[in-house]
Order: sequence, then structure tokens, then C-alpha cells
Amino acid sequence: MIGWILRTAVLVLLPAACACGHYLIATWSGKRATHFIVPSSQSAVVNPSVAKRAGVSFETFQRLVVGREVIIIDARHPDEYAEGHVPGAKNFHVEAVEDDVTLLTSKIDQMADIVLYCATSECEDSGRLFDIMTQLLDYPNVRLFGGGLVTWKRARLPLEKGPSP
Amino acid sequence: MTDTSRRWINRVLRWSLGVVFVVAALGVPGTKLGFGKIYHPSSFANNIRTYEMVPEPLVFPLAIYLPWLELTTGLVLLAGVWKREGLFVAMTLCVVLLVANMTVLIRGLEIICGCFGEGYHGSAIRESLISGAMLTATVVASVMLGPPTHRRDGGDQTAADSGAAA
Repeated sequence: MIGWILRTAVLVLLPAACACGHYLIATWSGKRATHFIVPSSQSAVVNPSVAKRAGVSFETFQRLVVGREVIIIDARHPDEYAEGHVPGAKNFHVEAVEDDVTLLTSKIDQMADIVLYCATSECEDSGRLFDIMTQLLDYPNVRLFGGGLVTWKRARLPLEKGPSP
Repeated sequence: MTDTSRRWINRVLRWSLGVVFVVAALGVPGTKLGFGKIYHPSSFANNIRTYEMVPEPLVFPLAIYLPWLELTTGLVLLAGVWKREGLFVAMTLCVVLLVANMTVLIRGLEIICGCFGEGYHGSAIRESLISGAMLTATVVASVMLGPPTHRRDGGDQTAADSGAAA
């Protein structure tokens, strides 16, 4: 019985040690640090009021896109982006940015005015990218268009097709 | 039922459960399932939050720990070492998942379960059925293992082990 308890304890505690090692290695390597952002009360994914505060209305979003006043970022997968996106939008898939934040930081100026969107009001990609940009990378001027591409399509507004340049 | 058939039922169930647990942790990169939750603890933490059961300070530690527990359990079941302990941990995980999904169904919550990789989006009903089936498999596998028989050196030996030795 004691042997059984000891072996079960090892089986339960060994993964805890692995998890600690995983966390430490990832934090030291820095590259994958985005995987370990703890979404807090400031998270747009977790806290709807944050998403609401950082949000832009459809009318504002439309004006910003037409006027090319801001950088529009599409947080969806590159395949989805290639099938159709808001004109002028750049593609930074949240998973790719999580793997290597320099993909984004090397191309987007820290002080740029940015609006993020993804597929629908339900998708999390833009919220996750918002969390990374505001909490980890300290981009101060990031906003969210919560309606997503589906709202844009519903209004029968033009789409651009093709992969990210 | 003969010892051989008991042994084989136990083996097949253990291997099946082992594969499910390893896939749950690692996913299947290159397929629709994609990378598993072990690679994206932050994303998995958001999935755990949708269950509204775990206090916020525990969500992230759990999101890092659970995939490793699943991976270790899966490997132990596949390797056939510490069978009884592996099945016990697997059973506990299945019970926890089943209870969590049942309460989600009762509360009418909409969950995001990336249980088998980033490309997997399961509903509470589907997850309840999967965890229920896995729980049944762990119970049957444990029964097939038979009661432990004590060895002279103080260690435990299962009926299936003694069958294998024979």
C-alpha cells in the first residue's frame, strides 16, 4: 500500500517538476514568453469591459480604414486572411506572434495607432493579440474592432484578397 | 474469462487510453488537431476560465501542469509500468473532466475546450461523452488488472502480471 501511494505521488509530482522546468526554460529563452502571459483583469480576452473600453465602433472602423489613418491588423490565420480581408490590413496571426514577437515588433512601430480585428465577435485571436501588444510589448495605442470581418462583409464593403505582402 | 484474454483487454484499453492522453497533451502537429495544449498554456488557461470553476490564481498553474500530467499518465499507460497507479490517475482525471462538463451542461455555460489540440473545439456534451467513455475504459482496464497479489519482496504484483509471467 505504501509503495502504491509513493508511486502515485511520483506520478502526480513528476509532471509538476516538468511544468516548472517548462516554465523556467521558456522564460529564459524569452522567445516563447508570450505563451506565459497571465491574462489578468487587463485582458481583453478575459474581461469584456477591457475589450469594450479598447473597442472602436463599426462606423469609426470604417472611417479609419477608408482614411488609412491607422494600421489595421488582421489577427486571423494567413489562409483565412488570403481568402479576404479588410483593404490595407496587415496580417499577424496571433499564434505566429506568440512564437516570435519580433515578427510584429520589427514591422510595426511602437507608437503607431493600431486597430485589431479577427473573424467574428466571438473569436479570440484579436483579443489575444491585444493582450500581447498591450501587456507584453507595451504598445500604447492599440484598439479592437469587436465586430470582426463578418460585420464588414455584412455591410457588403469591399474586400482585398491574397496573401500578406 | 481466461488470463490471456483479461491481459489483452487490459493492454488494449491501456494503450488506447495512453494514446488519447498523449494526443490530448501534444496534439497531432501537421493535422487538423494541430499543436496540443502543452505548447500554448496561455491559450489553455483561457479555455479553463470558460468553465468558471477554478479560482483565478490557480488557473495558470493548472494550465501548465495539466498537460504534463496527461502526458506522463499517457506514457506510463503506454509503457505498461506502474499500471495500477497510471490507471488510478487516469481515472481521477476522467472523473474531474466528467464532473466539470456535467456542471457546465447544468449551468448552461458555453465552453471552449481545446482538449485535443488548438484545432479542436469540443462542446460540453461531446466532452462529457468522451470523458464518460474514457472513465469506463479505465474502470474496465483496472478490473481486468485484477487485485494486487503481494510478493515476497514486499512489492505488489497484479493478476495480469502473474499471468504474463506464467
